[in-house]
Amino acid sequence: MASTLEILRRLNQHEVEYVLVGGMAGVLYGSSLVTEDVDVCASFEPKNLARIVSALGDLNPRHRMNPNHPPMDLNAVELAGFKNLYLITDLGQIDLLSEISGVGSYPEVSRYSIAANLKGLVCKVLDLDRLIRARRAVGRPKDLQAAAELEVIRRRLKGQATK
Amino acid sequence: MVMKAGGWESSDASYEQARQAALDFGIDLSITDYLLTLTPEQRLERHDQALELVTALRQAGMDYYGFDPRNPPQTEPARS
Repeated sequence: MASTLEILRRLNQHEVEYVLVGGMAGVLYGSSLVTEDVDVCASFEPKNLARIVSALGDLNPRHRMNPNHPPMDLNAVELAGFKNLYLITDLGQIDLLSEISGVGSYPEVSRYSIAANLKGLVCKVLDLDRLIRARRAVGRPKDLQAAAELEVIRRRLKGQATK
Repeated sequence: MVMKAGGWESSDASYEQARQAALDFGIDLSITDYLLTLTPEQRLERHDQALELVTALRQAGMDYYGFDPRNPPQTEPARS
């Protein structure tokens, strides 16, 4: 069952350092494209990995890219060997990325984020300019499609701001 | 750019180019127009409802075919 807010709430409750990126960030800006996973850029420092383990550990996390979907090793030291984590959980899919194409690693992504308030849940979201840049940098057809729609939204917002 | 009943109008050529590029990608900008009238949390709620529908339809497809139609099983070519 889709539960984006619940996943973000979990991350907040466990003080995970993350920035919402990808398709779900696009949704917040007004994109009409449906995405199946919650993409976040997160710090892969051991302290933050331990928080991620705490946040997701009881949600039956499994590695999505492995055909056998093995359970996520709940050892933060082991997870430090990963650059990205692509997970399925009981609340849905979540991708934890240590860096974002066209933007950089977590500190840069965090610097270019804005705060979004979602029903009292405050989370960082990659700003629209960098979100478009990231989509173009990845360059798959679906990313270019998403970037094209976000570009319309950006220009519209810019037009509203200058009126 | 001005908002008019039924949508937006713009004299900005680059905005029109951006719209055309999105249309060329198959984006239905009438939906985007609508979503921009909502708050971010309303957009998220609407998205998650749409995703639930997609998931249910996908499951129905798998139940019907017996496999995921996005990844149909490979069949051996007939031997002559």
